[in-house]
Amino acid sequence: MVYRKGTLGSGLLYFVYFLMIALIVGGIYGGLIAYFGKGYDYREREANLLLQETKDCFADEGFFDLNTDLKEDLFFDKCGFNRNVLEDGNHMIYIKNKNNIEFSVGVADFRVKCFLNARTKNRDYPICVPYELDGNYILVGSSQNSKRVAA
Amino acid sequence: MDKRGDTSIMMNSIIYIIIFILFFSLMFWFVGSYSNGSALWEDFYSKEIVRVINTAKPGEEFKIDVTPLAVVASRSGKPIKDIVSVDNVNNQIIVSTKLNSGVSFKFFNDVDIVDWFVESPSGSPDSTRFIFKVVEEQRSGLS
Repeated sequence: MVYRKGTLGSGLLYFVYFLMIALIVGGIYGGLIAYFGKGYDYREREANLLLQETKDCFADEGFFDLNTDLKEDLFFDKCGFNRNVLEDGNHMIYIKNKNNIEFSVGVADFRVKCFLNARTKNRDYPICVPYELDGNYILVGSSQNSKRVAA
Repeated sequence: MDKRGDTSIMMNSIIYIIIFILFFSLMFWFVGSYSNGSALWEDFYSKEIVRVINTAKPGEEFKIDVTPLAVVASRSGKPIKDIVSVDNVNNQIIVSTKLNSGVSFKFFNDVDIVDWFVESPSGSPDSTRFIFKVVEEQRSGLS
């Protein structure tokens, strides 16, 4: 009899244990969301903006008609993009013009990551915007998120 | 004897549960009152200011209303003039509503931001604006 009563008490303690675990996990998760928020997802907007600027630059500078490889220095000089930012691991611009001349800056791997289903929920993945007209193809992607810094 | 022992275990458990509920309630209250939405506004304004810079042409001047940011900053004791700053070396905007931390976001437009300051005409957070000019990149180590 005495032994069976001990089993009952021990069993009830499991319930308390799991309740405490749930409270701790819920508290930490709720605290993080309350403090940091879910944030403002800017990746698609930035990709759209980058696409627009790239498109305008290529049209204005005649890069869509090139028959030879486009030099990176010329691209950055004419298009007014900051090299350090575009090569910081969070951006990509890929272009293939109607003459099959390819040009890309940034993370080459984005050409695969752009089309993964996880990209909408996981903000470490890029959101990309494609553009195609008259045989010219542009794919632009951004995975930039704001960073917490000392200020 | 055995029955008294069982009651003691149950009482201990109930007390533990009450203490934990009280603790987490206090923690939620503290975090909720401390944050005041500051993380959300820092994130939002850093990205919106960068959006404006990315579409800007050299020579343009902007005045952006940052009142919600200033209201949150004033509650946490952050000087309003320090809520937005520009790092031209790394092409980034830093927005901060707390004393020792902020949020940064980079702009891809190859320009420099000059004559930037936060203006609060009435001295209170109401009608606070971030004012800046966009110029060609000067490559002279502006900060």
